[in-house]
Amino acid sequence: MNTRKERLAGISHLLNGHHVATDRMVEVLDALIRPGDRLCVEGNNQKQADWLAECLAKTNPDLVHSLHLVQSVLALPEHLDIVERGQVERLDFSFSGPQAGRLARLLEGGKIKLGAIHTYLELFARYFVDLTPKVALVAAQMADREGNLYTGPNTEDTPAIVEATAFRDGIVIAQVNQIVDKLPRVDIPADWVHVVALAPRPHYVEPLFTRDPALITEVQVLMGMIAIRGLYAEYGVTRLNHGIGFDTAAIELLLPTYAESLGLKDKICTHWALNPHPTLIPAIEAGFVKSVHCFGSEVGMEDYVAAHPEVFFLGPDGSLRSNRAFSQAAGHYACDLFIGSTLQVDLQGNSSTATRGRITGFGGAPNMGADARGRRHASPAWLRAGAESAAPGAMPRGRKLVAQTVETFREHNAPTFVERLDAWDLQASANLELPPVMIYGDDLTHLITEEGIAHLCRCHTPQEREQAIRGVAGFTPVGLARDARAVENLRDRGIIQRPADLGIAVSDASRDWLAARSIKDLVKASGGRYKPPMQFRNW
Amino acid sequence: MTALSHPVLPKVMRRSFLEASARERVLGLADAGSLQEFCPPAERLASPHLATLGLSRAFDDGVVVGRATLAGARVLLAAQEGRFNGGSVGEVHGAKLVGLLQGALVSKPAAVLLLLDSGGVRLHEANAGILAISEVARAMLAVRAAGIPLLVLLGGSCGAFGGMGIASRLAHRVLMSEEARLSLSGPEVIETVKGKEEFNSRDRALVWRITGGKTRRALGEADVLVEDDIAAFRQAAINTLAALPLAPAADGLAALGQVGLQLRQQALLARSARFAGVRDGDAVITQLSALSAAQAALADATTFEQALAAVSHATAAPDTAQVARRALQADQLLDTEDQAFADRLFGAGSHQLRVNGHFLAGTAQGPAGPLAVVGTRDRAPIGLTLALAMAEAILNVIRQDEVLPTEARRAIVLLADTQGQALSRHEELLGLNGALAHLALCVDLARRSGHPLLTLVRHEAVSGGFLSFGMLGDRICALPEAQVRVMDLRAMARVTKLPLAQLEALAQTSAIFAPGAENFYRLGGIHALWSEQDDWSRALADALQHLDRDDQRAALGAARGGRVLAQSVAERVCALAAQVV
Amino acid sequence: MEYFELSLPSQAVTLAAPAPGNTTDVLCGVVASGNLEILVEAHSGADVRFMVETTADGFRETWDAVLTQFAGSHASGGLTFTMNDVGSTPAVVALRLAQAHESWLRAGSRA
Repeated sequence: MNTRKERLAGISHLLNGHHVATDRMVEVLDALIRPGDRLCVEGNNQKQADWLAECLAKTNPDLVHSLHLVQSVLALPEHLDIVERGQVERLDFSFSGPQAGRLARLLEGGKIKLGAIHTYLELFARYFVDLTPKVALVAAQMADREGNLYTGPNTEDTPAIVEATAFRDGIVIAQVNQIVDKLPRVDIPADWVHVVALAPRPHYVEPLFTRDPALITEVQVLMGMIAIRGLYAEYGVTRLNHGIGFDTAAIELLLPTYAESLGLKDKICTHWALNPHPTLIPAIEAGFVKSVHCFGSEVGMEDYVAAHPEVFFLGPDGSLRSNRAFSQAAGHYACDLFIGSTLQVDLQGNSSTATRGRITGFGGAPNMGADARGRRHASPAWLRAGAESAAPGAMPRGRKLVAQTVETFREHNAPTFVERLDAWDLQASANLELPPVMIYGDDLTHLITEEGIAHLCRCHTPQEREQAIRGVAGFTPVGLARDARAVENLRDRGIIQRPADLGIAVSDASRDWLAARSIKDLVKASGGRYKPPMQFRNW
Repeated sequence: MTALSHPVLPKVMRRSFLEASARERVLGLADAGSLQEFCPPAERLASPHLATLGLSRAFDDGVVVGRATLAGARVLLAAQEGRFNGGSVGEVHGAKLVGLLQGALVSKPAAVLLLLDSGGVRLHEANAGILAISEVARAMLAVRAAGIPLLVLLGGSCGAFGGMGIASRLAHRVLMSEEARLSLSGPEVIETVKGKEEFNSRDRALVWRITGGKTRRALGEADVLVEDDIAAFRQAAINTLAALPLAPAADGLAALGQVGLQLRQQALLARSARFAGVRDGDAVITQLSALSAAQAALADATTFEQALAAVSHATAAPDTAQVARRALQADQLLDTEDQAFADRLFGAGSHQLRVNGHFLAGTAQGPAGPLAVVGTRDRAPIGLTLALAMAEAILNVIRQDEVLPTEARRAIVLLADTQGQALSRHEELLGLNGALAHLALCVDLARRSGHPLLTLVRHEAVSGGFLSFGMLGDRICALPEAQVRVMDLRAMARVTKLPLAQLEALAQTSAIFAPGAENFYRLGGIHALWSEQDDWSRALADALQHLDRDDQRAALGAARGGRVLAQSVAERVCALAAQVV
Repeated sequence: MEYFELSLPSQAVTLAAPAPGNTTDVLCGVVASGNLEILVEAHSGADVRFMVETTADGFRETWDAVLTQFAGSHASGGLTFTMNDVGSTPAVVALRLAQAHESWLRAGSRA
């Protein structure tokens, strides 16, 4: 009795249509999940099926065990509680965030076998090949009596998970914040969903993409200016994705001021694959932005997004339709530029956020921050980057611009540039098949630091590339060990550009350029539509 | 490649006051090119006490003082640097402010502008710091009494807390942005002592609803709400000065005057009654403005001012204030300990003192005539009610002696016995700092009306409660068991993140930060230490013969070798500020 | 806490000192975590002098590199830069030096 039909028959006494009572959920899970099942507990870096995860942690280990977890994010303590209780045998995932340290200890202690660490897109892809969930626990805003689901602005991973599970004889269980007679829109049809229950409290959503402009430093402003002049304007980048962080928030806030004053409106940054970053509000208000497709939503941005149908993808109810899988695909294939930040960069340009004793995984950055080898359509930026990278006589093709923007030193004066990534140590200690590299050096076309920009795609040899990296590595040991003459030569050839070479006076790098200098400025720019979470307010 | 035009910062961009440094603030506030800084960074008037602790110093000890013009008018101004040690006041920092204010008494500028941005006392030099704040307060009272317009501008990230929260309310007018905060105890302190339920300091929106500019403006604890923009602060300062009555006598621009303080007392009582038990600024703002809480949160300064003006500010019915006033009467007999204390001090049968909880007031027969007695007892936590009770008692003494010639007015014995200010969200919301400033204004009015002021410190005298009352005496004497402090060493070590052992070792040689009446004596903050063997009646008679009508504490500290910089720095700045150029 | 002085060759600074008694233009930055203040003053020698007090011990080599690059790239001969530092990164130090230098030139051009 392993088919969906048979399993659901076993809980027919608990079901009213698709609905079950909140207080019977543990019983339902005990009955529906079988040893050896592949299980996906929905959760990404934003929304979490947190109540179902709690129920899972209360199941009977005699009934529910030997599970194979196949889920994008291990963010909740409950996800690892079931590992500690011995209910999980194997794990395939993408990102672990706050549980990274605990996960590393469990792996080292042999509590669990690790399949692989994926990017989001890879894991979603494997849902349709060899890692299809048998049971998926998902989260939605609302359900109606029939069991249709409304996921609202935070649709995120739900369609990918449900599609894979429901059409391969799997069971989809949804927790909802509300049960209503009529949904604002149907995001997941009822016949893809098998069990629905009202959660005792709304599912958790993390305001992960909010960066307080008050915390952006002058150095980040400087690097933002370098990015705009040396990269965005240089290549005419219109389609792009920004990694999360203060560096990219600074760029977003410089668009309506600095970039506008350079005459770059309509010439750069018009089409985005991006979460609804609050720091993008001033650029949207200035008419800089034509389109934004979102991976997920952002807490407090709901009303603002709803008021901008000309920019965002909205449902008939007026609220955002996000979709992580599609946005990842868009970021990979349809964007000409990815720019993000990282903790460490080595001499080949490999970068990693791995630190010893923590297995954080990848999330989505590697898919954005990699050349799309399957891409065939051309754009000026893509062709230019391709032409610059091409070896003499090679078949002409385009290339994605992949940039990292980093200060040469992190806090406590730890150098960002290193001879050897900590990822190697992590590989050894956690017994991984590969060192966890976020962006591979051969995908990296540009490196931006406060010292300037290195056009790595213009380097002809690995030696040149290394000197170009050293040349913007400032006063780190890696930077100090540069060959000064080689670096000057690279500068003469425009491979390294200092701020002055780009027409930027370092002392002009003032926060006065930021279109918003506080969360309150963002609220004002939004016309009061952005409603920041309490922890970001100072009024 | 795209051809680029030259980047020009859009003119519409404001220059944030919040983000600017102290220097940028004064430069932006004053007429262009008019600022002349006194004792500028090149003179390196840094704190020697921070250096002793191995901590970084600033060339100006975190405060800019100087002269400038404002719309052509001659002004003196000061700006605290909130990012340097939280704008905290140490010996040098405080002495620069004192010197500026004292110089103003001579050069009589069109206004003195204080751009405050401070968490209060610098704990690394706590005793010198609280004395400095007390001296700043005394000097502000003198400037105010001289009819020189005194403005406080609050727009920095530290706001004004602790002693600087009290001092702010001694100005004629307070101009404030909604980003700034004005209060007494920090939310973290209240949370630590009273728990998260009382005040969750991490709930930033709540913190601002209690202490932020809009709540302060609605309550009248600030007089003008200003946008976070240096130019807006400049314009608000110009407008405020233009609107002030020109002649000192016209509208109590000098010391508010007895009538003014009586009215203020009435208003504070009415406000306490009206907002009894209220613990959230939204309730205050929605009652006092024509705005909902959501509207108020987003309103700009102009809209907010209009919304306040749209609501008539009828004070609470007089009988409400009457009810509140009953809590202010001292009408209970002394307990045996207090009785014995009073007998020893004034002689058995020659005093008529009464108490009400921590409040104590009455009269006594002094060695050279009748005395009035006002004070606190039993290690009082000083809250709104107690502050208003003492203010009321002092105003009564002034009124009763009004008919007498100035020299015949009674001396007032200020009995100080306090563990510090009361810690509660409600008291902070209603502006305990403002109530304590009001008390200070009443004490100062008594001095200016001719009442000699003698402070006796009984069991404990701690921080804010002491600052607004006992520290304003013409002479301050500590009784044998008196504990005087800002904070105990353990707590100080925790807050400053310095090792306790290091602080303990330093306390052996330095009087600058460690608790103890003896240390305050060496710094000049306490004039005399009474011993158990002394004849207290005789000591009392002697003390009443040796009152300093002007603040001589810095000189005393220098003479006693405990505080060597306060006087000389204040004198240097004063000499510069006293010049008219 | 560490203190050191460094004298380096540099091209002579081009503009005169600001008007006496007004040095507000030649102080840059504030003493706060990850930040520093820099006071710029004139001296009669040809070299550029740095006097550094910093809370972060053990970064002398990095300081030397940052200051040497600055002396080479900004005509500062005849100036003394006195710094109170609270653990700034080289990026912040370089930025503040550039700001301080420019402030000095601006003040000089007004004098």
